[in-house]
Amino acid sequence: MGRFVLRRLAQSAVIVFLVATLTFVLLRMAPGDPVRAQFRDVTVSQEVIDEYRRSWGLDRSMPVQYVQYLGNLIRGDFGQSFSLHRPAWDVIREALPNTVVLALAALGISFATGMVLGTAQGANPNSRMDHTLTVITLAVFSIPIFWLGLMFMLVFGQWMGWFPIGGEVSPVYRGLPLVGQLADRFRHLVLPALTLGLGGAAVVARFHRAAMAEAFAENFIRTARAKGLSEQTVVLKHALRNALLPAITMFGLSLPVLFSGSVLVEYVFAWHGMGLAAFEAVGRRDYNVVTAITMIGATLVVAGNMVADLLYRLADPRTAES
Amino acid sequence: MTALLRVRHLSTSFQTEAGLVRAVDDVSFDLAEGETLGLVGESGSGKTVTALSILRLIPQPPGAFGPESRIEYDGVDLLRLPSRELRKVRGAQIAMIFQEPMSSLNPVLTVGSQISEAIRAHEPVSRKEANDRAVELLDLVGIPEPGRRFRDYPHQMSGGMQQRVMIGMALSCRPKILIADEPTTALDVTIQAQILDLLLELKERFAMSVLFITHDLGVLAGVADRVAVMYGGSIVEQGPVRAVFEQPAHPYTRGLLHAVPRVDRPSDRIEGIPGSVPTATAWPSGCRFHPRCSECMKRCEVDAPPSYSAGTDHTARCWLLDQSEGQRQ
Ligand SMILES: Nc1ncnc2c1ncn2[C@@H]1O[C@H](COP(=O)(O)OP(=O)(O)OP(=O)(O)O)[C@@H](O)[C@H]1O
Ligand SMILES: [Mg+2]
Repeated sequence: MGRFVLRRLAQSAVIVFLVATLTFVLLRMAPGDPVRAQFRDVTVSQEVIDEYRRSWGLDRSMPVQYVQYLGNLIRGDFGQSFSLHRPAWDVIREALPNTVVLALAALGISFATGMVLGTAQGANPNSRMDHTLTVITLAVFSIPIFWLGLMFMLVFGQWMGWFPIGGEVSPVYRGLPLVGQLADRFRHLVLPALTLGLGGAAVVARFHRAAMAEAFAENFIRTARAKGLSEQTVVLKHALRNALLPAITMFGLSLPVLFSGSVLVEYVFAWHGMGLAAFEAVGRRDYNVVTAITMIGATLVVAGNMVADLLYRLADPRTAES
Repeated sequence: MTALLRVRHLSTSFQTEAGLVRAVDDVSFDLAEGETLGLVGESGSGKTVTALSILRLIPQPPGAFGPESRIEYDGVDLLRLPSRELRKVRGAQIAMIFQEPMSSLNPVLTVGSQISEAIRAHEPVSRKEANDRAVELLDLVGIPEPGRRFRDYPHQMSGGMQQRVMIGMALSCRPKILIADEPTTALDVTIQAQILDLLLELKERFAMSVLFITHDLGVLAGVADRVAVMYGGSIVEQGPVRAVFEQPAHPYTRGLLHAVPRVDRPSDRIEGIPGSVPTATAWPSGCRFHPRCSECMKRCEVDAPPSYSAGTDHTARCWLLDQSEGQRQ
């Protein structure tokens, strides 16, 4: 187990390094000059521009820039935001909690809904309920995420007026008591989390249904029934325990999807998370902020996958001791 | 001897894409108290489906039982028992062990917990008590260091050990009937004899009735009291083990006996039965054995033979018995 962790840590470090390099290369290959992007509406003289380039280190040769870039990353120094004139890390510190809250809520919705539906379907394959849920999950899966978000806004925000349609808190947030503040945050979270989570729920349900159906076809299910166990025990203990292994893999795979999905959802719902910050930073060629967001995102995804791998090995006795 | 289990006109079919599979067709037999009935037949003859039908372990759909089918245990028809009641029979009254021990055990649960859960399904005992009994059972079935092996996962055991665990699990609630579906087929030859001896010993000790399924007629000579021979989804001959071995009435049984190498009748070649088992989607017309039968007559191709008496408590489904010695039942 210890060796496995060490190996996975080393692999993770390599992946993060590759992401850092790729980010560096892609940013500098992308069209648009970072300095000019900051002065979109004003004309500035070449001297001013050169001065900025010098102070941001963009005047050196590419290899020198790359070495400096890696050195800064290793020290955890993401540099200054070109457009916001403050440390890129500050941008992250404000955006990251919002994204984590949104992602965790969406993850909860995806897995709670998906596992329940998939278990019910897998335990009763080809029943009417199974067929109905298959149609529904496929439909939800094929809805574009931004359209779903807009529909939620329209129906539950505009028409019903049940939930606010943007931001994390109301303007009156500061004046509310603690319970009111929590409720306010929750109300703001509902629509973006549902938008981001429902597609995932459909995917989880599809995969988990297949995993359950596969587990049900196994001989040990027959043994469990032959022992006189209740159908509930057969489903929840014998089949589900085995179908959890694919679910753990799915958990690892869903993290990157969640991060990329959150860009759209944060944009639609004006949710001030990493996705929205990334969207704005890319538009302004704010290299340092884009880099910081990419690196934090990559680290989180890699760490999440490592946790999933570890969980898998712990959950499967056949790999646990090797 | 009174029959503990009465199987009557059991027909089990499966609705598949290739059509209706009539895996078991009008099977009837009795299992008396303390008796071992050997059910023998080639692969695909319907032995496993018969065994699974008894405990209603056939998935429905695609499986379905014919309307005439009855499986009476202790006077109650298991096929019509509400599932809550059926659960009290499964494992507690009638237990089963399977052909492949590896896949029959849950890979993510310890073998001990799989035994103690069987106990707790039927008896109001504490977890601790059930675990203690599971360790005793592991000891009983000959697993060394049972206290430590309790916490093993199935993959940490050899096939023989796994089958011992399955036997321990089956015996955990002291069932009246044990159904053993080819319990040694998947094991090494050396292990097969050990498992067989263990089963025989435990059968005596627990005074169980056993339905012993095998494709090896030779094994039954030392194991069974009575023998039922299956072919093409039906029982073609059944009777006391001596009678079936010494005066086989059905050409198929005779063929099987020739295929068994015997010490007392040395021959330099083992005669098999020519041809292969027909598939359950398309049984041959008339007697299902007729395309392979060396004594096939005209009527065998058209009409399925009824069951004829071939001696005391000995019957066979063959037209040959019509003229010669038996009278119609
Ligand atoms: N779930 C099922 N769906 C469709 N057909 C089935 C199903 N289970 C069994 N059958 C068919 O029923 C027939 C009898 O199978 P069964 O497993 O009872 O044979 P068997 O005598 O136990 O053979 P073996 O010695 O190989 O175990 C076979 O043709 C098989 O394909
Ligand atoms: Mg079989």
